[in-house]
Amino acid sequence: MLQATDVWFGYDAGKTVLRGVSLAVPRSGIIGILGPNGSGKTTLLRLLAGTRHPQRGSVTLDGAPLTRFSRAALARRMAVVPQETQLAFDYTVSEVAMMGRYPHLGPFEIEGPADLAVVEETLKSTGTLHLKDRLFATLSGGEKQRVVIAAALAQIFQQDDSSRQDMSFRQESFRLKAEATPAESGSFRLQAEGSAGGYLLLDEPTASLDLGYQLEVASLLRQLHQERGVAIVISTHDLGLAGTLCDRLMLIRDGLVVAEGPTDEVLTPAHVREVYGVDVEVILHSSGHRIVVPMGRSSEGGHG
Amino acid sequence: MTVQVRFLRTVLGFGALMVVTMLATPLVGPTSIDLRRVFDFSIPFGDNVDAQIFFVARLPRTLAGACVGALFASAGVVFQGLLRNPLATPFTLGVSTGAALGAVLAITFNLSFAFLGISAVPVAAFAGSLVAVAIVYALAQARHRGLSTTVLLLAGVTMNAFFSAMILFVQYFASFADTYRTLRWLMGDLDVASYQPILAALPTTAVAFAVFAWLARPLNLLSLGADSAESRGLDVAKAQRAAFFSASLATGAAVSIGGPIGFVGIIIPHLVRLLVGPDHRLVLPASALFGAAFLVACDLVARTILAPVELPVGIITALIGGPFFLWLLIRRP
Amino acid sequence: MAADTKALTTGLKPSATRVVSRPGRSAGLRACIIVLWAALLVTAAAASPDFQISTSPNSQIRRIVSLVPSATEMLYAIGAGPRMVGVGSYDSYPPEVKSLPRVGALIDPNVELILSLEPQLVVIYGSQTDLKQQLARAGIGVFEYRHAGLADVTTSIRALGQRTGTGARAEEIAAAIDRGLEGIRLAVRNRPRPRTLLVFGRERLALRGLYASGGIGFLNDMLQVAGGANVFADVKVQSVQATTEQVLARRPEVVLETRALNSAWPSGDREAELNVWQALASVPAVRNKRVLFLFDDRIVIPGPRVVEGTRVMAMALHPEAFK
Repeated sequence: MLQATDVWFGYDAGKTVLRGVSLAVPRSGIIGILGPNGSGKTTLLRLLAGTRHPQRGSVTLDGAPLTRFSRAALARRMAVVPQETQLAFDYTVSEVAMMGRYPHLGPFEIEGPADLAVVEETLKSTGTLHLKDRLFATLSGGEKQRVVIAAALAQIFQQDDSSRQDMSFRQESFRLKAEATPAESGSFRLQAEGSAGGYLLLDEPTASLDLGYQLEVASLLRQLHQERGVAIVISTHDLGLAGTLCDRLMLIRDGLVVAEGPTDEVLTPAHVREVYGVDVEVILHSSGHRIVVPMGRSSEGGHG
Repeated sequence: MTVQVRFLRTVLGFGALMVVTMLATPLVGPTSIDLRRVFDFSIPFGDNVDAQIFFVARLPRTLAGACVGALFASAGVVFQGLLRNPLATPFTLGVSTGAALGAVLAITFNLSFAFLGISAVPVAAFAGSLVAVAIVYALAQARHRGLSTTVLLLAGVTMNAFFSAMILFVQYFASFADTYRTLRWLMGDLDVASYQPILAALPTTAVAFAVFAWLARPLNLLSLGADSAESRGLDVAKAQRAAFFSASLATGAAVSIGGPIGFVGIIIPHLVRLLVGPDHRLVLPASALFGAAFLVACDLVARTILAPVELPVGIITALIGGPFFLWLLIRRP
Repeated sequence: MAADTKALTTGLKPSATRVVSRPGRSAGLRACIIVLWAALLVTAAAASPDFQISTSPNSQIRRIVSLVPSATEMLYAIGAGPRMVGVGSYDSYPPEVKSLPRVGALIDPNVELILSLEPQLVVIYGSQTDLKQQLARAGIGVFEYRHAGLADVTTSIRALGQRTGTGARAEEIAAAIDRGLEGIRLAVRNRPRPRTLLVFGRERLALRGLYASGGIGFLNDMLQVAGGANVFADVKVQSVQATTEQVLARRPEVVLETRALNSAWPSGDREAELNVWQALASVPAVRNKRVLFLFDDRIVIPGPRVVEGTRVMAMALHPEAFK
């Protein structure tokens, strides 16, 4: 369980971005953090990932404060997928994905066959294995996002045996595991081993994607959650995506929590009016998708 | 092909290039020497002009060229990784201009101290580079807890401008002869005439290269953005500090040996990335080796092409650098 | 159009009016004439080094400013000293110049100060074209001095004598210099010429940035008169940046390091500076301890004291000839 308790945070001395926010992310959950721009969503993600520390309050993982973990240990449990990834140099897809293995390697250690296998598997599970020798910069938005997700999966890929000495044993167990889970509809599936499970934190995962890729990424996330037991936290302002994908939602505005709980209870016209100042109708489509229909600007509540 | 194999192939390939270049260049020069006489140890060294030319004039010069070339090229790679910009050079953040100011002061005011067997100008140049590093770092820190590369770049560019203005100011009060000598120093000069400057630079070089070795993977991660790197477990502030200081020290050492020789720090990283890809674990060692070979070759051209007059090596690197950049511009759509 | 043509034709000879009927052609002809005139003027200006706008008779040059140290010495030597009203930043001889205002030098001439001194003649460097234009516009006479070979010393003395109306005295001085140099030549005539490296600049405590005299220029000429053989005689430039390899290959038998007095090293530093040459221990000059420091303005300033400077050089090269 990843838990933020009453966290306060501000980047500069004067400005507070988060005021007393609490959020619980169970290992089995898909949580959505919703709010307008500047509400503190990205900051909350950073606090959850441990790349920033709250000025007040605490963030704990399985009961232990994040500050107790080394950076590498934290990174092995949690991975962040940013909204966009800009490369300074021309890396290939497999090189980008391999960067996810950084917290698993020592300072001068070079990735071994196990790491290569992990990366290959995660690329496959995100449907990007065929792109592995392409230059990352030449991919479409959706493909890029899926590669970055693959890298994040490679980052939190856990082994039962955390020591790296017995490579052959793990390779063997890897292969056995693969044989044990028969392929379904042509896709190779590998279950995440280990009891810990990982957390995938995505910052506006579909914001810069067009419709087709939005659907792709959304369904990928659902699949990952179901098949690998990865806990997912997404911050977004796409109400429909959040409503459809997430089982729990948090609505946040100006650093304050407006509502938090199961999706049905949070994604209501009243709450949306309060946060966005827009009157909406929330419709549950027969396919299971939640559709949020904007009706018009509200005369009360919300801010721009 | 795994990284290990590619690493070996890269290092062996570029290493061979460097070794061949360094073996061949002392044999060539404006004066023709007889190789058998050079290694004829029966002739007393004081009488053996060929050996003198080889061991006193050419060999130190080759070694200095290799050292300076390796330092500039690898520092260039690190600065480009730190600033996430393939157009960054070792001179972008003002280190070399600070060194140049030190040298100009030493030349103009005829400073005559010697430190550890090194004369005033190289010492003053190195001191100038340290001052520049300190000021730029302090400026970058003041604005931001931690190290923002944007602020670092601004601070560096500002100090570049400031030091350049100071250099012009000092030159205005200098005699014509001093101005001329300063100008020639700024064009680069690898004629060290002794092994002392190279030996004196070895500790700094060793430390810089050790830090570069550690920086290779962090630089890869930083290429995807500081936040990304942070969430992958990299201590970004520490890595950026390490990159800044090690690359600046390397640049300072290189400038104090041979003056601010331009273009090495940007041509070599570009070429190497074109040949081996952007993985810093390959690019860093390859750039160091290729940089050494490149500068030694440029120096060879500089001292033979218009014999008996010797051109400053910085002119040769600039003459190669200009067309190289044109070509880069043209080939990219 | 017709009115313009009429205006153009006034001032021309009547026969030219017949050309008026073809206005395009006459305008073109006029343009050619103007261009030719301009070219002629420019060529005349460029060709004559002593081109002067002001035409005051030579004896009426009462106030002189000189930016060039050697020219200053020449002016005093030929008797124009009392007329000097301003000297350059680096002038140091004769002692009288110390009380005169300093007007700058090659890079930084102080035009306002020069003009305020109201000179009739200003001696400037040949390369100071901007300054020359400014002085010409102010109607001030200019003498362009150019550093070249030893022979130009006497040429310049004679020319300055002409300009300042001291021709007779100038001729005396020039003749004395010629005789003095000839005397030195005779004294060393039958002696073998040692291969000499004449260094006039380098870094302190290092053999880097080493500048030596090439095969042309007054330093080279002085060395020639003094009985030495310049190791860089084949390099036809005034200044050579000598590399380690070149010094080792050319094996000078004598190294003369010459500087102006105000750039001389303090005597305490001289031993350290001498030791620097041990890096090139195989060079005959170093082995035989013939690395000599000649800090003497008479050597580095190609003025009337050039004979004494050459003699100093000759005594360093051939001590026995001057016992």
